[in-house]
Amino acid sequence: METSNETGLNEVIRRWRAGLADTGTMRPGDLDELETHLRDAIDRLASTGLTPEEAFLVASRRLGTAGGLTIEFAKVNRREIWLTRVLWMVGGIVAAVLLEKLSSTVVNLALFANASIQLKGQPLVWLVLGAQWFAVLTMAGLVWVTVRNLPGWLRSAAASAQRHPWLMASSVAIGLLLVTALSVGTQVLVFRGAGGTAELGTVMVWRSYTMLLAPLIVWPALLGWLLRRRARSIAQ
Amino acid sequence: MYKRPMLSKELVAASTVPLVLSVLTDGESYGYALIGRVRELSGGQIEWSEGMLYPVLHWMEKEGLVEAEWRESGAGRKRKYYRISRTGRRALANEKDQWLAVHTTLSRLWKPQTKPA
Repeated sequence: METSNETGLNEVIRRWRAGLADTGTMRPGDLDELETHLRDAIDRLASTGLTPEEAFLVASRRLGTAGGLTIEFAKVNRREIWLTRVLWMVGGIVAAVLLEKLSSTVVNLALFANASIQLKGQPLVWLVLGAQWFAVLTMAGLVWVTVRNLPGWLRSAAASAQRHPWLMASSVAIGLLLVTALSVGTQVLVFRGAGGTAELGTVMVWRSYTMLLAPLIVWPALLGWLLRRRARSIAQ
Repeated sequence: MYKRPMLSKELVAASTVPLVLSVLTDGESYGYALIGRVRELSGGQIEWSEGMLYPVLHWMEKEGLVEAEWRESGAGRKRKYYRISRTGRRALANEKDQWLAVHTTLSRLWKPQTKPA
């Protein structure tokens, strides 16, 4: 009886804390401090005869709504909040570069294959376009899931990156080096082996269409969606 | 509805720092206890919305008015204890002068009007 009550209360408190953490305006220490306060208040209220759920409701209400707390904490944690945002932006740029290099590697390999094993016409064009669209859409998808509801794996990845900053930085460096080497290396293969064929010309034309079209459609659409979402959440 | 007149939002905001510093001159304390102490001393007239105190405490820590330390309490709970610093004491003396100046002036002004029928 007692323990099931306690587990239930811990679960409620865990969810309450996760809700505050999601606002992104509080540091882990701030959350610890608020949680201790909440537990102190619950203990005090429960000793007057309230059930744990009632005590939680009253205590969390007195502590303040997530909205009110966010505004106040945002004032003192401005630096941390801004740093977090910039970190996410830089993370996004790194992801975009990685994806772009990977897709150009695939494109180069396709072009090289075109010269050596005569992979002709349609399949070649589809492979090239597919690789490019894959990169653009994956990037857009990443932005979308991050904004909609940060998935657990991304959240824990961000947390572990924070715990091991230099490990993170060196793996990003190695990753970038690797994909750059891959895309440059395959580019060299293409120039050596597949220069001047008719297919190469066609593919290059298609490739430049995609490079123009993809950013032209996907990024403005994403931007519009983000702006609308922001406007609606401000109006709430 | 109201049993007692409550402090206005502006007055609460202005008085939080001197109140916290004054309570801390009696010794170190933590957020929950600070709130309880102020409520008790004010006879319930000063009611902070509790969570708002923490950003103020953190600002005071940044400004060097208080020093803070995390410690495990009896119930295995991690608590952040606040202690007034030397800078805090100086700031409090300054605040005290200002509040007393306002208090004295208002008292003199209101003297003839006390105890209306």
